[in-house]
Amino acid sequence: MPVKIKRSQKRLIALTITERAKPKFFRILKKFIKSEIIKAIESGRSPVNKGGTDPSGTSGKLRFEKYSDSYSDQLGRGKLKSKGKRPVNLTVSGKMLRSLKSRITKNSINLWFSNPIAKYHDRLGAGKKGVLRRMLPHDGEEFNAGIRKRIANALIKAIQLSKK
Amino acid sequence: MAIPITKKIKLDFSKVSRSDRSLAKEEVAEYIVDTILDRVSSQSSPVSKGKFKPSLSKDYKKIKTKQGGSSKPNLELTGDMLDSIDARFKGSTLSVGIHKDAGELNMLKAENHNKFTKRANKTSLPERKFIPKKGENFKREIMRDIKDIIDSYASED
Repeated sequence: MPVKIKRSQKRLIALTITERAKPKFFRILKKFIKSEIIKAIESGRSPVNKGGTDPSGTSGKLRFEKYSDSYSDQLGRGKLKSKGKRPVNLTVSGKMLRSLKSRITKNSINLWFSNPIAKYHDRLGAGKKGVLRRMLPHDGEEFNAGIRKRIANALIKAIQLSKK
Repeated sequence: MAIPITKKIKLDFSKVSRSDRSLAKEEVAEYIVDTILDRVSSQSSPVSKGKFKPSLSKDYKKIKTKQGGSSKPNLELTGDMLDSIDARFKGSTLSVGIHKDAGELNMLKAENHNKFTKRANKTSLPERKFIPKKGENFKREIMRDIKDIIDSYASED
């Protein structure tokens, strides 16, 4: 007689395997999560699902909100000489994106930007309109579906490696 | 008149419980849009055997950078066409691409970049395919990921 495995049980089996594969998974994850986040931002996509769940100041979309007209007018001149209007990649010197840090703890990976400008894009809102261009998921939020899938693929890889 | 540039893919949600189906569909829709944008930004086609001309012409590069765009072929000058890529479901059929509500101009740009029609083949615009046309499909690894996402919601016998 076939045994029916419900989703909750499937999760339990997955978690048991994960326990064994955990160190490998975090090592693999640490390697690529930062580059995934930065790659998404540099191409104008929010790494956060639907650009974040906070409705104020976000477009609620995967792609970042366009730069304001007044900021766009400043681009290509002075300090912003080398910066283009598109893609909206939150990159002038690249310092902020390079400040993304990660640390593996027992059961999680912590990610944060050490550059103070990051908080304006991610939490407080940038410019007069206070536009949020979310870079990291807050509590209760997730990465976007593409990054989530790549994390799942890393987990599968870790499980395969831990079986060897 | 411009036409919608979309790909319709019939997916199998029969193993997913009715209560989980909308979640699974939402995840697939988000995944496919993110993946198309990810591939385009790295100048590669998400379409199986799809072409993506890797460089801009000298003249266009000048125009594009002058208008504040990147010197790389990322299909983004104003960003409107990429902003309008959308994925939606009708039943278990996924429709992804530039839909009618994206506007004439965005549909036309997408038609020409994807060489979707005979008239698009006559234009000088280089092929940078991001939506498969009839008889074509997304790359195998993308389709496999979609299947994985659906499977992760399935309750199996």
